[in-house]
Amino acid sequence: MSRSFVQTQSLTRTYRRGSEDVHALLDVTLAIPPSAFAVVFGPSGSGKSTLLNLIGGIDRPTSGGLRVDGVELNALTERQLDRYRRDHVGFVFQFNNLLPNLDALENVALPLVAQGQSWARARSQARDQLTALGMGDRVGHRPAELSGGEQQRVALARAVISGPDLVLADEPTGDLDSKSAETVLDLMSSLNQDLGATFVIATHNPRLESRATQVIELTNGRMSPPAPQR
Amino acid sequence: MIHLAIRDLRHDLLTFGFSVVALGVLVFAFLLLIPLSLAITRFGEAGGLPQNLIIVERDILQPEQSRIAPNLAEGVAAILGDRLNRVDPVIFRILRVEGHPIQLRGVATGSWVTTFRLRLLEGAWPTDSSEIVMGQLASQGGGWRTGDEINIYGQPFRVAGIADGPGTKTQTVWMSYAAASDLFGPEKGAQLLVAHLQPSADPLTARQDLENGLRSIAGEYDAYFEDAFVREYGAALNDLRSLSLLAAVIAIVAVTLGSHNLAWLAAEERRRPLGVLRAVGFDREAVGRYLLLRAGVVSVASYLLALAAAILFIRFGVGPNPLTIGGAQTALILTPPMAVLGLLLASAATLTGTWLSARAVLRVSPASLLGRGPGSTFA
Repeated sequence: MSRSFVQTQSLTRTYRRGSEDVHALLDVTLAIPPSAFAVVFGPSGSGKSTLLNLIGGIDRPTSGGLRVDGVELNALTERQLDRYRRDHVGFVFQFNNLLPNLDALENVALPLVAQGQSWARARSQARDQLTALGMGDRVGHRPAELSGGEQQRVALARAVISGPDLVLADEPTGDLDSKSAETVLDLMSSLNQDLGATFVIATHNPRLESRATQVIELTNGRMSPPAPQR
Repeated sequence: MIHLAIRDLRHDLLTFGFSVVALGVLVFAFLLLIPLSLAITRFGEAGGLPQNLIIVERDILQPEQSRIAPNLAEGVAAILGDRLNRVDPVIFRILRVEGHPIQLRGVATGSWVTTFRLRLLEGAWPTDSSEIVMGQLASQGGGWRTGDEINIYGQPFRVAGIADGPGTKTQTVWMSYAAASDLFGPEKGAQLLVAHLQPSADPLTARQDLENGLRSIAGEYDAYFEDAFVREYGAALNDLRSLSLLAAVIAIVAVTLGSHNLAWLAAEERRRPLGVLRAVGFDREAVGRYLLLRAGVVSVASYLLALAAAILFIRFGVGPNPLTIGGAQTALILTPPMAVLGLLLASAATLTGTWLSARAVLRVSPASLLGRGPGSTFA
């Protein structure tokens, strides 16, 4: 069995809502190998996004272990966690979360600027990335001037431009028509193969199952059956 | 991050403009209140001549309300003896001359140079009771020149010359005692008595002797050195100065609170973009810098707007109508150090207000900023 790139052990995230504890994720143990195309299925409220938040280091677990590429995320300081996200993780959100006041080029350049590159250099690299994803003629457009599919391609370009080891996508096709969704999924599959990065995708879209190298199912914050690996 | 801050402000020009105007109004108030406080302070500072003792009716604040008994000059002369150079009754009025508040002093022309050290700047000393000498500040304030005819208290006078005296702060018109007495009538008489001491006389001893002597001959007078009298008069304005300083402090506190509210609103409206910035790798410090730079641009723009407005207001709003208090002119001046102080305080207030509000936003996790918890649309 290959070594795990993402590994969780009894991972739990509990929120306080009034006087009540809500288990968004409860006792989740899983392992995702390097370069996997892992798909997390589950109904709304099942904990998919919470799992991605924890793996991506934008939230911290209440208890349990979480290792990514051998690094225990729980042990990282806030500053180290910032660096982990900056250097190792790319995010694609359902509603893309592009900054509305920046054009496509600048949105894609953001992770490189966060790494310390100049805007000029980052823009130049972003142009190449957008061109590679078929968006070369839309670089100067603001998000509001792009279609849903185009916005999601820009978000995908932003997620991969810094060459992350891990790409986390939360319902990347949830807001798209079927044709745009298919285009985005094709791009993600090819990026997974070309970059060798591990993709973890939370979705309702059953069409993704055929592309997945690993399927994870969550119900009410718990793993359903053991995660099959392909 | 400055690129992001400017892009953000350009994206929402209306809010940016509103923020700049809202803070600018407060900074404008500050930039006017500080010069006002200093102008009042300057007014209260000592002026006048230490060799001159002023005798005025006891417990009277406004000199024009004082009345001097006709025989008091003889009494003063007797008390001071050979220490006295000369003593002169003064008719003192504050009135409007062609719309300008003017201090009118009616005093024997023989004392103008010796006692009051007037120095003729242009023209000549009056040769008859229809002529007056205009103080330099009054000449500047009213735009009067030598040879002009002006109407005082319903009677025409010719400006014989322009003069200035040491420490003069008031817009003053000088006329002979006889001319003033004719103008206002004999009923109220003189308001002040000015005793000019010999240079060899000790002013403190002379004053003490005069106060003791006055009590024995007529108990209802006070004797001040001229500079102390001016200071006493100015001290009555201390409350006004304190109030304007307090208002200036309130203006700066309001800038802090206003900045806090604006930054809080901006941060709340931008929770998701801030979460995105954190998620793509910007650390808390970088996002904090972005918020501070954004506030800094608003602060500098507000300051420049306020500074321009204050300069224009002082030059064109106050300029033609100099600030006068009880007939005394005091200048409203915005000096470079005051302007720099305003910039520093406004920037510090803005950055403090922004930091206080940004701290709360930066403390939460990126997931929370993105609204990604149970019950959110993303869960």
